[in-house]
Amino acid sequence: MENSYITKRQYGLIIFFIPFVFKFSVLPSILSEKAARDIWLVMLLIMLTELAQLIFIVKVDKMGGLDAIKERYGKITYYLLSAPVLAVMILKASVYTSETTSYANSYLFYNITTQGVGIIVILASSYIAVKGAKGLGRIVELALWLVPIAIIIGALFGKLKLTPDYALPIGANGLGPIAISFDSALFWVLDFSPLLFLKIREDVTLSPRKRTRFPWVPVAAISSAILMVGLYLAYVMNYGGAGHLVDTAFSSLGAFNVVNTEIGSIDWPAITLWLSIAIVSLSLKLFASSKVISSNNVPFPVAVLLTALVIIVISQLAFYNLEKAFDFATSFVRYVVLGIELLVPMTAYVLLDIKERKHQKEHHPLEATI
Amino acid sequence: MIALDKEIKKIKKALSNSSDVVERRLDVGEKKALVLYLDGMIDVKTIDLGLIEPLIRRGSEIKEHVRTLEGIVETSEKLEFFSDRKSALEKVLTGGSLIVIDGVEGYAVCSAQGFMSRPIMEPPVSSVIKGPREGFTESFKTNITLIRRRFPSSNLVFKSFTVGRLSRTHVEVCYLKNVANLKVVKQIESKLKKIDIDGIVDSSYVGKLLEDRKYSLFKQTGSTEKPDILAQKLLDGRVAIIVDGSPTVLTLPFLLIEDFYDSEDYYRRPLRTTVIRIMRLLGVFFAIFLPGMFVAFQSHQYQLLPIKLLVTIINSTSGIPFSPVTEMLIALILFEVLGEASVRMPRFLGMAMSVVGGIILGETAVNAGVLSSLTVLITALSSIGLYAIPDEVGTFSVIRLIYVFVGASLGTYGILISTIVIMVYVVSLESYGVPYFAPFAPLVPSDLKDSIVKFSMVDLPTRTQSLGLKNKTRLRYGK
Repeated sequence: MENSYITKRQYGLIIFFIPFVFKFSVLPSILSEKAARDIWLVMLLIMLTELAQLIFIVKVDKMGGLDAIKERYGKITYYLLSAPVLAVMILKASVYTSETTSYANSYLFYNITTQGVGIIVILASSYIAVKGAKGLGRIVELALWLVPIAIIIGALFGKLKLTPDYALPIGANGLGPIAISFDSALFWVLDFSPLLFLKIREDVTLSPRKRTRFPWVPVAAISSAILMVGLYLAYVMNYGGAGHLVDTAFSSLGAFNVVNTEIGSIDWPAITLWLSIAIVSLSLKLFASSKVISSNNVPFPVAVLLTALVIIVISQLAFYNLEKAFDFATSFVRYVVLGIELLVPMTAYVLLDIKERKHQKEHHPLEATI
Repeated sequence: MIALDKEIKKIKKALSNSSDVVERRLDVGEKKALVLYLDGMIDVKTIDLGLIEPLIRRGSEIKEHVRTLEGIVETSEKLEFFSDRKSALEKVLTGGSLIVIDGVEGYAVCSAQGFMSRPIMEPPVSSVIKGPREGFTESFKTNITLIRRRFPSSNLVFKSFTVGRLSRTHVEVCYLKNVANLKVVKQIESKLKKIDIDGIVDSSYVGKLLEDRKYSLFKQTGSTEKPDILAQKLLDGRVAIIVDGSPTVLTLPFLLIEDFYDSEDYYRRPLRTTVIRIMRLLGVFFAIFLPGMFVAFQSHQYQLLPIKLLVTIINSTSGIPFSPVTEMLIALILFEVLGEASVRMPRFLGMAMSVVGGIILGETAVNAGVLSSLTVLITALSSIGLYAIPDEVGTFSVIRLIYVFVGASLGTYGILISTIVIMVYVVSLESYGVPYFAPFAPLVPSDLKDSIVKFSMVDLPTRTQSLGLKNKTRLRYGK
């Protein structure tokens, strides 16, 4: 069977984890610069936008994903839709690789070149991408186990100091700063496009009764949104309006990071979780990009390798430090990226819906009229 | 019709005039007969009393075809008839006694095997305090009997195969037909039929030929030397492969979590079993990660260590002429060599050499300033931790070596990335369609009740769901 299939639960977990990665590295300080204490409102706006995109993407995936476009409309339409998404995913992966490198270096490395760190991240992500949707889905299920471990360690050893007053009054500076912050963060919004290249199958390890019962996708999406907004609120309650002064601020919060034990301070909970899911997120983009390239009769592992090479070249040459990546991500490119991320799922949905309705009319005329 | 003199010449030639061929020529009635066997392979008493004596006594009753021996031979051992010499001699080579009668058509073989084999005893690597102590032996007949005794049921099926052009090794596929996944059974049988090798010496040969990934670090077949463990696995829907000449029985499909189990886990209290399994997991965790992390901390991330521990490490390693990675590799290689030597050395030297190797060498190395005491301690802890899961010692010892190299070159970052890559590899593996890392990835909630934690048997009414069996129910409650 083609390796694009994941179960509903794995699909839901991917939706849950994707927002947690690159919205926690440089984004908090970017948002804090303009919105100060209202960054959690900015995040609320971001999550609502992402939920809107997700609705279209899930509907498209239920109808067979972008592969269904290829089957029903032909390759030209498929490439017209997938090529822009491919470009966006490669650009985002390059920027995110730069962020990952910077994060890993600032916490784990003082005496090694950033190039090595970045290349290793891409190579690891490429390996996961080659394993296909099956490998991706299973590793996401495994990553789920890290969450309670991180929470337990955070709860036991955390040093989070929440001051609710820091978050008040809500929206004190008006909508302007919130809108400006949202505008500057557009590049980091709408990361669900790779899901267009996945297909959902039944989980045969569950009994038929249990398979369709739990609504994994809406639960994952909504809980992810609530957690994201909650964590940003916690950020505000900890740093107030000074968050933009703290690099990689989230990782410095005691509750998520430092474990003081008898053998020393270990930054493991946040770094382990963050880096693991960052690599999974990057590998999802690599997988999706490679699916587009491999549709040209290129063997899938070769497509992954090519995509990885392109990302390495871009991230090493164009985004060799975080400032370069940041400047690119906050330039006009962010509008193009946003446009593609919004329009492609909507267009795909409309096209597939037209075919579905036509199919219903031709084969089930009675149901089509109800 | 067989001309005996000519036939004897042909048989001897077919057996390469081997010196262990024993011929007994008899007068049976008015005819001449030959009983031929390989020295040491037969039960002499059965052949004498049940075959030769009745042949001599009732030889006049023999008619034109050798099948008439059915009413004459007085033994309950299997009596088979062949029309061609080659098939008959194949049976002789596995311990049968050939009967050829002058002027009578056909060949008969009586399978009264009587070669010496090891008695049933407790396997050396599966000692238990509670529970059965029987272990499989090298004789497949004994092994089949040990399994059959546990399942006096017509649902227990044995299917025979002969594998190996020269060794003609007897392989039995065993399963419970109302439990096992018959697709898996068919796949295994198909693969066994396709094996074209000169000889099978041990079940591990068959295991490797049944695996999909030949060079994988992770084994893809389960194994056991205990009939009670095999019985549990058969009840759980697995298929067993018994290889003549090997006390290790293979089981398929295989999940990695199986090697974390011990036979006593099912005889102890569930809470105690859970604690022990967690200890095993911790043992493996320390075994794999400790050496690599120690090297990584020393080489790259010393800032993660508290001052006191850092001072201890510095004091311990000051004056050591080697880098942290070289030191660790020396210590690991030393322990590996010691381990190999202790397995192979004569028993009467074993204790003395273990003391010399383990204690004196280690202490001397530290005193001489070749190794630091912390390195020796960590290596010892790691090596002991490996044996928390004896069946995976080979795999985990290679992984810990990989981590030492990665830790030296890329620090904790490299170890983290390597762990992710290894985990991706493991979760992508499948054993006959069953995910290797189930029930963790993919998550199978019902199977988690018997994974690291162990629920009471009463709360495990279903078999392992990850195996995709149709007959899922194990325990029913009375109404």
